[in-house]
Amino acid sequence: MAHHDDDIRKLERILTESYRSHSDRSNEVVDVTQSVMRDVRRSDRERAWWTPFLVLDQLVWRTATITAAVVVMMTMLLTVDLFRPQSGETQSLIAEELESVPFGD
Amino acid sequence: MSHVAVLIDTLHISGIDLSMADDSLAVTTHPSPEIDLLQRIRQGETERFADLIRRYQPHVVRIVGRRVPADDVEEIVHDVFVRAYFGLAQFSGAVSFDRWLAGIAVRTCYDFWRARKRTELPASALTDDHHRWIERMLSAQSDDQFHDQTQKGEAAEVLKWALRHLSPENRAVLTLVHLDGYSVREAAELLGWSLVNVKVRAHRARQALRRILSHILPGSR
Repeated sequence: MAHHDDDIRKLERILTESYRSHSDRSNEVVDVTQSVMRDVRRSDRERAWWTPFLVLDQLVWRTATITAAVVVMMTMLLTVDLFRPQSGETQSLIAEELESVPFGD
Repeated sequence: MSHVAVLIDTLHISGIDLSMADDSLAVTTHPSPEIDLLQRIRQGETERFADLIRRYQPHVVRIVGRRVPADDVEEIVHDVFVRAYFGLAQFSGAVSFDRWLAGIAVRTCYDFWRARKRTELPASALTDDHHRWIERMLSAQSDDQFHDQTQKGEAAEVLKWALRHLSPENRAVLTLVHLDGYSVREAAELLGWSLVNVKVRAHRARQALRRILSHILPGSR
């Protein structure tokens, strides 16, 4: 078992040294300047074309959000308003009834 | 943070001699002309990005060349620069541009192996030549004999074979920590992962590699 572990360690060591001593592609001539710049330019053009639509998109969403918020608030106000006259009416009726019975009579 | 980092560095995975750290990710100090260049690119001078590519291309090729098959290097280097261009807004200057670009390169290579893992067939078996090389390597008596074996093409092929059996995560961490010789902290920064994640991965990846290697030792077949 110990012998086996030694062999694994030895193999690991040789593979590590091999990795460090081989710089296969370090000196390879790779030039991606043209292809990257082509992609970058194309993407910039597309972005410029889409920008007005993106702004419009944002505008539509913001308007929709604000409209929805206003509608919710209006609904709440109307709901509250709907119940208010009923309770007000009851209170005024009771008040009138109390006023119609004078004290001491 | 510093205590944890020091502790982790102290506990740095033992066993492999890490004294010969790879310098492919090392920061080459430029007199920071890129600050001005980056600002111009951000302001819309897209064409200036070509200057950055020319300047940092050898640096990126060195990193990528060690991590992906030779036929894919050009494509990955291309992807690294495209990602860098679209990520320029996120470059804060907290680290050097070299290191920031190295992080993108390492993560792009990791993504390459993740994508390949899903589509590629399993790695082919080693040949008899490889097994004979392993036997010769194990029987090497002197340092010279041992060193000669590291220069053989079989060594690189066996390593590639073994790495292909690892998960993309284990492969990324093992390459950075055990082969390149970077600290867990540096590897975590480059990969954008947590320290704990990288530390655990580094340990597991090493165990996985040892298991893979144990199957190709003489007498294990």
